[in-house]
Amino acid sequence: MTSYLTSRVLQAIITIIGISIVVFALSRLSGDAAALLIPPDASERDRLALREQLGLDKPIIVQYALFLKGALSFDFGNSFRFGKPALDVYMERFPATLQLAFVASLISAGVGVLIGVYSAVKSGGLTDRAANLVALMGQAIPSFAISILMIVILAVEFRLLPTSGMGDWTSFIMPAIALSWYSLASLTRMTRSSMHDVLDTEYVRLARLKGLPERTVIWKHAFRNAMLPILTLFSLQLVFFISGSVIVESIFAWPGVGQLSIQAIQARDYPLVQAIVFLSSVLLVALNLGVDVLYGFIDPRIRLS
Amino acid sequence: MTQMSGQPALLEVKNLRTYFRTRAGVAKAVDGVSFSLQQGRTLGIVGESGSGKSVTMMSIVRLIAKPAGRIESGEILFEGKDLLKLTDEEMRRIRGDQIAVVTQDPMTSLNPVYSIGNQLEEPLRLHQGIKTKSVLRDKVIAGLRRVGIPAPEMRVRSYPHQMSGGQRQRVVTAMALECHPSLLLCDEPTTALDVTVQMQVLRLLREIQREQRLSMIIVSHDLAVIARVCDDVAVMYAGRIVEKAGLVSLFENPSHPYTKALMRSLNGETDGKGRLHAIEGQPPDVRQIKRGCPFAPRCREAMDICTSEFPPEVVLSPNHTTSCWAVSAKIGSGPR
Repeated sequence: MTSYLTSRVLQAIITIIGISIVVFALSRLSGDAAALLIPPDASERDRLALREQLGLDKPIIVQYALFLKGALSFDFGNSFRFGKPALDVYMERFPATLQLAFVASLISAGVGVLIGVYSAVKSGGLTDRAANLVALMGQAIPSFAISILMIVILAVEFRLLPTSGMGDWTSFIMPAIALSWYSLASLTRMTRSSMHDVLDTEYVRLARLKGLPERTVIWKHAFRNAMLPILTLFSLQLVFFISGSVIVESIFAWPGVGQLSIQAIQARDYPLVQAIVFLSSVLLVALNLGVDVLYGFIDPRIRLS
Repeated sequence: MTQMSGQPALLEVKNLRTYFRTRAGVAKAVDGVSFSLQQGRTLGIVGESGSGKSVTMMSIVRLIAKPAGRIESGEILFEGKDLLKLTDEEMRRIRGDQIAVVTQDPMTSLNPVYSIGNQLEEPLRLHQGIKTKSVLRDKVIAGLRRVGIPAPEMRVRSYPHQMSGGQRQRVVTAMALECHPSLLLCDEPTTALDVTVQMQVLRLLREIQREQRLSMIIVSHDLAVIARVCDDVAVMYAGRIVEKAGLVSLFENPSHPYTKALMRSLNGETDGKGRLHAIEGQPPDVRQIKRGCPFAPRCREAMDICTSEFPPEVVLSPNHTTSCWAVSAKIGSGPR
């Protein structure tokens, strides 16, 4: 377990360094920030002064070193647009995104796994076929389309839910469904096929031969084995809950990081863009590391090798 | 089969039919099988793969893959009550308690994510209602010791992937014996093991069977395995029992052409060109058996009637019967 964990942590560190290079390079490649901040009729001297103030006059390597040094202490500099530390701007918006992502991942993991297990157990039945159809729809219809459909029907036509913004729990329903939409569908399918395979194994047959009740056979003996591929898929999909919120937050005017990132990109607010991309990536790497640890707990073959 | 005077059979299977509905048609995997088993006896069921021997066994514990498979008709009397008439819940309580099964493949039969101890505790909790951790642990360790696992105190914490195939087979056997079943079903218990380990496992099964006066059914495609542990043998072909006899009687006087062919391949007799005897042709597809004796197309002694009607059971001696037209013709036409 220790060597397994050490290698996972090392991989995570290397990934974060890689991310820092990409984040830095991308924002430099998108054009000159000074040109955007300064009025067109400003003098060459003003322009150079601003570049110096922003640190854009230094060699690119030095700029990266400064960025990395700051990033490691979560100091990304002041946001051009908001005039205060980029980290503070990020942290103001982060809770809204986190809450939405949490609700959405609960929906997709909880509902997806339950439906998936049920369809595998009652394979070929009516529920199985219905679930299959819904899962197919989930993978075929993009989440923005389903968002707009929900707004038109649930909010505009029947006035059941607020169209946008963050308020009480009702305001979570549509954005959370939209955010979990794709992931729910693929998790259902993955759970179904994974459970299907496991229910066919000899050890599940032996569990039945022991006289264990079906509930124990399914949840203790089959599900824990079926979980590994489900968990792998889920960890890959965590990225949707973070990056997917860019689209969903824009549609539902959700005051979170996703919406903020669009504003930051449009304003070419380097420090803020860098802060958002870097912090979101680190969060994702950390979540994936958590999943890796979970693997070890679930499967002794990983833990003990 | 060997109906001894007075003593009722522990298990009596009467005219069992288990069919599977597939896209290619109905597969009559078990098609009218009858036998009985006395307390303390061991019955071997031998046959090629697809002959229905494993399905017969799974029918006894009523674990046939639904919805394709179904026990169509028959009776399975265990200690006098018909298992086919029990509710699922009543049947579940018997499985692993009074009737236990040793499964085929030790490499895949144990759940990889739970420790040996955890898996061995389950039947005790379930059927004997033992809840105390220390009592469970002691019983599990005693069970492992009985099947010859070295250092069982350490082994209870092991996971299946840390054990060898032979050890896993012993664990599976220990699991089956935990609740002191009166009937032990062994589905190809040694097929997946090395030959040396096979012998050890067979010896173990034999010892335990004698000690506890267990009744046992061993299903195998290997007559050598059957010969080592069984008192009686039933030979299955295409869903039917074609010959049943006491072990000695069967080996000394095999009657059915299929049994004779099996014996020839077992004894390593060659066909004159130095090749081992193989039975010509393929075992039939159980979805496409028509009338008559299913062995007829491969049988050297086949007659006209063999392709039109299934032969009735002929009693050769009190514990030796077979279903073959050629045999009944011989008996009918002259002294034995």
